Amino acid sequence: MFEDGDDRQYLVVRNHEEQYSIWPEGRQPPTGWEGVGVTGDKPACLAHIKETWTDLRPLSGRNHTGSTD
Amino acid sequence: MPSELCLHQIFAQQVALRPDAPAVSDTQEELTYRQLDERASRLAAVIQREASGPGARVGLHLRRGNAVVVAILAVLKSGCAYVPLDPSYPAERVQYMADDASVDLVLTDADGESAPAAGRTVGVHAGLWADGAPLAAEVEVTPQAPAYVIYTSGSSGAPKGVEVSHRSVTALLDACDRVVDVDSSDVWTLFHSYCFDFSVWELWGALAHGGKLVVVPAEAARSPEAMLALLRSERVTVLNQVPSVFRYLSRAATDPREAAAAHPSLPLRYVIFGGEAVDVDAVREWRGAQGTATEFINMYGITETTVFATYRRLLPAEIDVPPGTPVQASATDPALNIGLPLDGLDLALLTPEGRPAEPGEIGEIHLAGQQLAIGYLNRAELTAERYPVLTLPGRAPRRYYRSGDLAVARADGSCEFAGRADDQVKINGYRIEIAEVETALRAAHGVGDLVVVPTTSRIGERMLVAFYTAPEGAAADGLPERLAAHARTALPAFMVPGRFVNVPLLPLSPSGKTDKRALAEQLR
Repeated sequence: MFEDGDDRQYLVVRNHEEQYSIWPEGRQPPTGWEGVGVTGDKPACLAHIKETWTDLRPLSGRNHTGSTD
Repeated sequence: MPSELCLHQIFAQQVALRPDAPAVSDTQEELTYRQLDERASRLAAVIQREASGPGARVGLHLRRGNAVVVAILAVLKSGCAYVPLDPSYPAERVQYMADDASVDLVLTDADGESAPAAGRTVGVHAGLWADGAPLAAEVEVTPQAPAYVIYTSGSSGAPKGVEVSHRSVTALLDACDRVVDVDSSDVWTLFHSYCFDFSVWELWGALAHGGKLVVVPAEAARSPEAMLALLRSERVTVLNQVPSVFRYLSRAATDPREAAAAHPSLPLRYVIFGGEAVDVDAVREWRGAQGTATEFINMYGITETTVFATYRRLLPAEIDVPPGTPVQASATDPALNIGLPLDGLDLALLTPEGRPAEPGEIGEIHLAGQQLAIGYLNRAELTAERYPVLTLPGRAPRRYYRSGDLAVARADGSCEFAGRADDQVKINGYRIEIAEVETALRAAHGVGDLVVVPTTSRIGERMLVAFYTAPEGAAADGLPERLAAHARTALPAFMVPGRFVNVPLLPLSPSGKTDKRALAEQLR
């Protein structure tokens, strides 16, 4: 789906579990996911995700007892 | 519905049900469920004292034995995730994994110097779980919390950690309950390194059902004859194997000396394959000698979706026929057909255009469901890339894992494995599937075992090299010539290996697959 080296534009999307992914720009984000206001080529979107998504555990798995850092 | 319990809670249920039943044995010592639970709880108390708290990652640097099982349970009881650091792996790689996972604590049975450097190191010895040592306090853990981080090789060259939750493993166990019918009377082996996620299934398959887990000693894991003796003496009923390792076991089981010994047949109920295409002839030979009471199941899976994703039972028509019987043109190839997805997993075969493959078409395997791992530890960008959200016709948008594995869609809904999307070899512009070359060459007369490895020559030329063994007791005289002649008759010229190299034995990587990298190193 997201082949390397493609020159499409993407947007960064996030779901209710605060998991991130990328989605082709210009298409309605999939149900349950929303754009976070960042668009760009694939490397730029992935770079933003790298900066932003610091706890990969789904929200429901981040128990109050501890953090992984 | 997957269980809402954590793995250690599922174990606790079995402890309550059958405290005095055997839980684990490494052939030196056998522990009941109660004894295993007590040891794990005492070791968990040590972890609670030494680690920063629940959610921390704990490295396990332990040799094969009951202590591995004790330690895994102890880590989970303390609300932490374990990171396997098998001391049989190269020290440099072990240190890399300890650093990359930023383990809080390492439990080791090695001398101080050979243990990986980490924040804190605790030497594991029997004193830690002696009578009277304090038991761990109960910790609240959610099933979505990470249970382990297992490293897999990365296409970029550096291994990457796959972080898997309790819930993903319980989803796997629930799904497999519909494939294999196991209970507390079953005896399983822990054959594989705990660095390889095949071990997760072996361990929990036994303990979640109240069965007994036999930790296979290193010597037996290396020797097919010793392994066969262990299967007999421990009365093993469930055996998990990588096909290239089973090939040797089958050879040992069909040895004339074995037949002459007239042992009663093995009580094996299931042989479960994973990790490679099935060697169907090895199964046929086994059944010819050992009888047909054992069911053989081929499982396909990936660490990123928790051990297994699909399953297929091998049919009598495929395996109760003489070795060498060709596959009928109309039939599926039992070596490559990986069957149907496990319950709860949504499998989509997607063409390069992103639409589901029609029967006969090749697609890339994408998987969705609760078995999907949390992601690659500390690699958000790789996680986002490998776990895209997809909207497929007739299905709700979901997060999928994009496997890089290719399969052909069959009319019956099953998948036939068709190689890697990214492991394709190109020589002189031709695309080559290594497995095809290997299959052709293995059929040559007088070859023991054989693998083909793509390499680059000193002058920068891509070429294939075939490494082969001669059958036991046979000389390799004339074999390279025969192989080359056979290759030239069986394959187009561009697929014929440029070199044929005789080796005494094909090396296995610590995870039990043929170590092609080690073979390629021999050429340098």
